[in-house]
Amino acid sequence: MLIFLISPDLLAAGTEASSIGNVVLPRVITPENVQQCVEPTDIMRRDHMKFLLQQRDATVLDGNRNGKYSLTGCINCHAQTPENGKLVRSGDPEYFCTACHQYTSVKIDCFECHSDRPTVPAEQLGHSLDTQQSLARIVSTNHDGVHKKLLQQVTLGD
Amino acid sequence: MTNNQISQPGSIPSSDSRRSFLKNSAAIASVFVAPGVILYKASHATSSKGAAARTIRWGMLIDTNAMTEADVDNCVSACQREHGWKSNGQPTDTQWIRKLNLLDSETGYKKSLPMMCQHCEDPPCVDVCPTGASFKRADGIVLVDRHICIGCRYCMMACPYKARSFIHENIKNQTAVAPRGKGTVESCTLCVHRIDSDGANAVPACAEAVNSAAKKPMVFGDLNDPDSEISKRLAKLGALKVRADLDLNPGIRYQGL
Amino acid sequence: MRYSELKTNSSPYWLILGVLAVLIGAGLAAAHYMDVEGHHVSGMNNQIVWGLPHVFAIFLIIAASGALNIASLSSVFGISQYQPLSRLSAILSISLLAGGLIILILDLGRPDRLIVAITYYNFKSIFAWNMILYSGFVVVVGVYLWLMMERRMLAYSKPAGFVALIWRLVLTTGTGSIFGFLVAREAYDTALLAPMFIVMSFAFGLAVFILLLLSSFSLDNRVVNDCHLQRLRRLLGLFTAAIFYFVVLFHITKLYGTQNHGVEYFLLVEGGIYSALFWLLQIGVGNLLPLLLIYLPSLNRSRTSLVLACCLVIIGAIAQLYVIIIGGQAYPLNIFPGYEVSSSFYDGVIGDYMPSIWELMLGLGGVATSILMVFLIMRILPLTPEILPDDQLN
Repeated sequence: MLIFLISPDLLAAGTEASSIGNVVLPRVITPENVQQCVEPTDIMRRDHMKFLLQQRDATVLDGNRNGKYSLTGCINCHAQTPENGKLVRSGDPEYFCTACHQYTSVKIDCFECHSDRPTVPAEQLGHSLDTQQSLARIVSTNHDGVHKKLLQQVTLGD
Repeated sequence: MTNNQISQPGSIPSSDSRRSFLKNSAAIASVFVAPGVILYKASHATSSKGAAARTIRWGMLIDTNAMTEADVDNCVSACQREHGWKSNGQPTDTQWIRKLNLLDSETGYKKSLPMMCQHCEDPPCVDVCPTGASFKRADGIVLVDRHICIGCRYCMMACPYKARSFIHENIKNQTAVAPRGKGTVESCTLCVHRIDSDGANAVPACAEAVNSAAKKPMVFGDLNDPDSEISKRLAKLGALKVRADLDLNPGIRYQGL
Repeated sequence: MRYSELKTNSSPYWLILGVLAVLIGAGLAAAHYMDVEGHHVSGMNNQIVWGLPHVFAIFLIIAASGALNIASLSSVFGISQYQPLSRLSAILSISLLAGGLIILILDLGRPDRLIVAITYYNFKSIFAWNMILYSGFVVVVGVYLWLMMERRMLAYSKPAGFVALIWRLVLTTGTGSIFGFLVAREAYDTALLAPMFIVMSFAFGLAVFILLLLSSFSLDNRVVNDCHLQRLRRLLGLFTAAIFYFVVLFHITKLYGTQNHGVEYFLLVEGGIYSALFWLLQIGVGNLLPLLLIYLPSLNRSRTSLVLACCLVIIGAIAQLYVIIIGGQAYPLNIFPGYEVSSSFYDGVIGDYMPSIWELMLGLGGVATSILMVFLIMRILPLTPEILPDDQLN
């Protein structure tokens, strides 16, 4: 935790893995054409669970699937196929949630139920937040497209 | 209670013991009345949540006369593709929707129909869930909040339609629209993810698989809107509610039975 | 009246504790395995959703309620001959309930969500009420026990005993209503299950209590007089006969309605294992044989026949709960009355259930937890009377 306070930009997007002494710090994958996350990094680091829990209740209880903090939105940006073409799954240490959570030893069980694969390819991700939010709606309306894409990813990853 | 009053048989009780009698009776009576008040409130509390529009009630009309057995099979496969579940016929396998074969052994009459969660107005599964994970949304869809489900399976005991399934093993490769995992209970969601985006124009996956330009056996719509297609068809030809004797007022109605 | 801790250091005592500890370990391992792999390794499925662990758990919970009878008879009904045994009655009650709860919690699909179960409540659910009733029961009986043990507070143990009596009647009603409130299942859906469970609790709890009394006293070289055993014996006979009455009433009422003939025929005649368990173990071994052992003039003074009667009542109890819980689920739902239904989801067919070894281990682990808990606490706290006074000396 102290490491986070001292060097907040150690978890910057897309850089090579940095380390302090023998400890390799986690690295969060982000596509290069996306400028920012829905919140600044230091706020996300502390409060992402709070946002996710708010969004979870809004989606399940109220049917609001267009929220800023949609989990699918997170995955669409952060769980894209990296440069070497290998599909990263939530069990792999490079996966964007797993990287930090393994480092901090905080177990998560989100992916016991939730799909860990992006539903839109990286090229379709926009530069701005508006485009990212509209992507959350693609999940629900683009049934055939989603189905085909998922089939591709399943054959790649299994 | 003081026992420094010596009461002779036939004597008039003194004001002290009368007072304490009244006090104790009032206390005992309120102890018995209070749970009754709480139980009354609890049993009449609405179990619906959420800010979804209150006047909508989603439902589906299934015309079994217009559906062949192959159509019903297609319903089931469409739901499987949309939500990522499979059934190999094992007793622990999930079925959100299934083909139910009816046979009248006296006359030989046969019929196949799709059976899924009936999205009752008064769901027994919602009544019995200890944590409230099984809930009815304001727009009438009955869902399981799988974040809160503890996997006790009491709702499965309570459902008269055998609509619910428990996930008995670790799940991989879930679809993005249907998060599902081991240890929780699930059932047909009426494709709620489609409804949340498309509203009255939504078509659940099962209906999408059997409807075409030629025929529309499965009609999804707002039961509370008298101008919706489903309401008009119901007004014209009527429909059956399965297990109507239980007075659950399901949102899924069947014609042709 | 002097009470003391169990002092025995005999090898049978430690052997029993050792066996119990092994059973508990096995139960925990089985629960962990079912949690990691999912319930597909158990025999439970989408047709039979509650299985052998629930049979054991509900037996323990029912027996817990009934085990407090001895204390209630003394505190509430003023039968002072039972007063020396009240502390044992209370601790047995708490231990049995703890064992039952542990089985239920470990069998949940998501036992890691126990905090959710304690913090999110749907008050229309009898299950939710039961969670409050069960945990509250431990507190109520704990307070009751303390009031009995603390000499200055002994007078307050009477109102506490009254509260405990009402609490356990509500608790057992709630347990029976778990099944009684289910309109969907033809084998349930009756208010009769609640009082039937109450009467079952009297018999099962007393049978376990008698076995605890005789075993702990014999391990610790204390004497139980015949007069006490005769009294307990007659109570057990009365309660067993009452169970028989309720079972007869239940089935005759269900048989009266033609619509129930299917489920009754299944349970009583053609249910295979369920009919066999009903007639042989529940009625024969669990009701009729114990009544003979308790009342036949040639046998009704013998300790052996009493111990045997208690064991048979317990065997009959497990069989009865198996038939109620599992037999009741095995009969298919009647979704379209008048039609035969079939599907890939086992509609219209009798549910198939073969208990797995993991469920047996979990169930026995819960039972072992209760017994180990009571034996250990009897060793730590002065709960056991040194001498049980004879009636003539009282």
